[in-house]
Amino acid sequence: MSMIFAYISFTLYILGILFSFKREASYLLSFLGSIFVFVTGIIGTFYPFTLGEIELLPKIYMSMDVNHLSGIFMTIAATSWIAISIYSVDYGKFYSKDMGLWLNLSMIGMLTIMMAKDGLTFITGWEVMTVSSYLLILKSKGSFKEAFEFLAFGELSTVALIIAFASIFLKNGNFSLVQNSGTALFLIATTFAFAVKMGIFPFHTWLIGAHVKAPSNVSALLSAPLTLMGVYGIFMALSVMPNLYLYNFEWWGILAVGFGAVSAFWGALQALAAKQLKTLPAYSTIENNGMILSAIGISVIAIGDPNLQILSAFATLTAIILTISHTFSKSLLFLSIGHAKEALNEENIDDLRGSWSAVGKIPALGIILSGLSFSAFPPLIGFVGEWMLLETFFQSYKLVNVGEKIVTTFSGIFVALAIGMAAFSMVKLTGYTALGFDHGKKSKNMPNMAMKIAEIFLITFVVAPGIFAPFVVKYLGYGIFTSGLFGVPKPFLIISSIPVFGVLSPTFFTIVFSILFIFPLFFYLSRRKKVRKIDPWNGGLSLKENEYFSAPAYSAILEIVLKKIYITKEKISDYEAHIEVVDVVNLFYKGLKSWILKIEKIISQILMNGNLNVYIIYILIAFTVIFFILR
Amino acid sequence: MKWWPIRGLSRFLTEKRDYKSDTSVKPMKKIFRRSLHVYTIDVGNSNLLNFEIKELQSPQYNTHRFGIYFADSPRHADLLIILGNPTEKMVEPLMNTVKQMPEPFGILIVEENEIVEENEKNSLQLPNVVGKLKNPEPEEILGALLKIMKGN
Repeated sequence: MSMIFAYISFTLYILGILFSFKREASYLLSFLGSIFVFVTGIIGTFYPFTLGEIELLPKIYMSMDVNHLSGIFMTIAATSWIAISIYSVDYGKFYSKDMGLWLNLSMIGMLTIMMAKDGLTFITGWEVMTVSSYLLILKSKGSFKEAFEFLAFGELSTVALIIAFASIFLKNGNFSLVQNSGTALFLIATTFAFAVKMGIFPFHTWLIGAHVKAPSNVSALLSAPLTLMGVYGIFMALSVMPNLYLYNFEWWGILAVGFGAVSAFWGALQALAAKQLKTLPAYSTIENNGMILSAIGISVIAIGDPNLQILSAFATLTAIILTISHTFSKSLLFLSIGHAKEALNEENIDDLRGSWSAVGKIPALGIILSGLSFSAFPPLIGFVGEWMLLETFFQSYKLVNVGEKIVTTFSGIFVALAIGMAAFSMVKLTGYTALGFDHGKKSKNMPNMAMKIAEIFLITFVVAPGIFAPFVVKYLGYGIFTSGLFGVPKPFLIISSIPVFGVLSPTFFTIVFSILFIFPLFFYLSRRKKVRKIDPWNGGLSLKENEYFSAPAYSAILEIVLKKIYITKEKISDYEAHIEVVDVVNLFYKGLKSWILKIEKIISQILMNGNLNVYIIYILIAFTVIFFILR
Repeated sequence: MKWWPIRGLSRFLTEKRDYKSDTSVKPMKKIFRRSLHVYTIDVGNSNLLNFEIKELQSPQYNTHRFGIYFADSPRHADLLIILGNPTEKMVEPLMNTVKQMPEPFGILIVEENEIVEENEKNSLQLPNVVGKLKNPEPEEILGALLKIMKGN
């Protein structure tokens, strides 16, 4: 019965592909399809079911199912898809008609990934997702280089996945992901593939370019649901590994914690110095995915010890809550920024000031709330996630091995720094784009009803799960971590361990906070005298637009202090000096690229030198070799 | 403890002179009775008035003993002293400066001579003008300031 919903959602997406000649119809169909995915996810979370099975060869078949884990991830992804689909009804008008086609197709791909029960289906979905996302990035002009980089890294992870599934086939004789037991090679290869997709530290460069260049709805799709597939993949790969606690997989956990923490730190550090509008959220994606990976890492380390099963479960819960927080907030951030960016036609954080008054209150509220969520402002969902992550790191003193202790401690430092710097960068983003002075800018006249609906929809999903976080924890199946203490009634308190280690009640925090602070604030605001607003004192002269305190100036102090990390350089052009920073990893890839081009040139000069005799010898040798091999 | 100030006060060594001003000024609020922070802006005079204002800070007049201080920014000032008649280019800076003054504030106009017609001056419509001085000596300016402070 429940599989009908899944089939309906597939049908609706396919109809959306067929109706792509009419923009609105295509996006509305994908919206309806996403609603059905949402329902399917909720059903699958509690009542797992299987879908049809196609046998291609004996023992090799393609099949799908929905279980507790994929149900949760489907619900999370579908929320983002619903908002992106509604948003695209208005936003898609700026782009060509086939955008609806690729949007629907990429959603089908992701849905296939989450429902996949075997490797073949998984890779099919992965490829569909990668290729259609590549074509989506290409929709904005001048994005060929970035789109190709995205495709190259996507195919890199596909290759890793093929290796992983080949290893599973060698061991078990089929591709199933349910009964089979994985190998160490499977775990390494899948982790590599999914880390590339999540944008973990040395593989994050594709993400920045693609997110910046893509249309805003595609940026949201890339940042939230697409990297979510990486997170889901890691969960899937770990579920395939049988009895993690029997074998020693601590090394995997330590690596995950280390890379996750470094990635979180690096993402936050680069987000600080970002000057373009969408670079900052893109680096924030890297930071969040790093935090998710480190939480998963601690969960895997702790699962090896029978005494630490509760810590392991809590770390898993942390990863899921962080995933929820990241997906909702980042979709909201990209959609609101895209709205403001399109309305004012600006590219930099510094130029897009004051969208509260220039564009509208709803997109500005979207930017503010998502920014607050990322900077861990209570009681939003991001706050709950980051509190849980820090609690997880605090509890790492329980680990037995000294090496694990050292790694988790230093990773905890990096993660805490990352959280602090994320707040700094989000103040930069929201303070200028949403709340800054607008300099009398006028927004472009464009239809924005659907955009506003999408933003309001996501705002509720950022605020409500934060306030009612204990119920989300219960919904995810971790009821043991909710309790009642200190006069807080039963399910309203999240506890981080049993016996109690740390407690948090976002619901009661909201109540107390509003009584202690919000109501007096409103009382004050309603009674305060008329305020006179004037420009800063500039010796009697009125300020020019470039004399205001700018966004680059806000972060310049850190860029100069951390000169060695950012490789800060001062550049002077037209008697105006500005600071430029570089991502070191980009330099590495640049070097790699130039080396490959050099080697390619040398080889091509040796092999294809225009000498006919050499060609004939080459053909002869190749023929002989093939002849002897296929004899 | 340094006892020179006490000795000075007891012997009435400080000058006991009345600074009187003939011009009529509007008194400001009572809160300025003991301290008045002044910002001067030169909007176009022959430098004469600048010298006169500068004299006020010299030991001869030493306005600090009355609690009259010269501020560096109109945001710190209670009284704006406008020196001269505004030239065309100085009208906008003058209006910007007036905008910067915190409430309550006063404006004292000090003019050099009577070349400019009244109409042109009135067109600026400066708020809270407490008085007008024409070609004053430092003594007269100080007298006016003290009159403003005293609140009649």
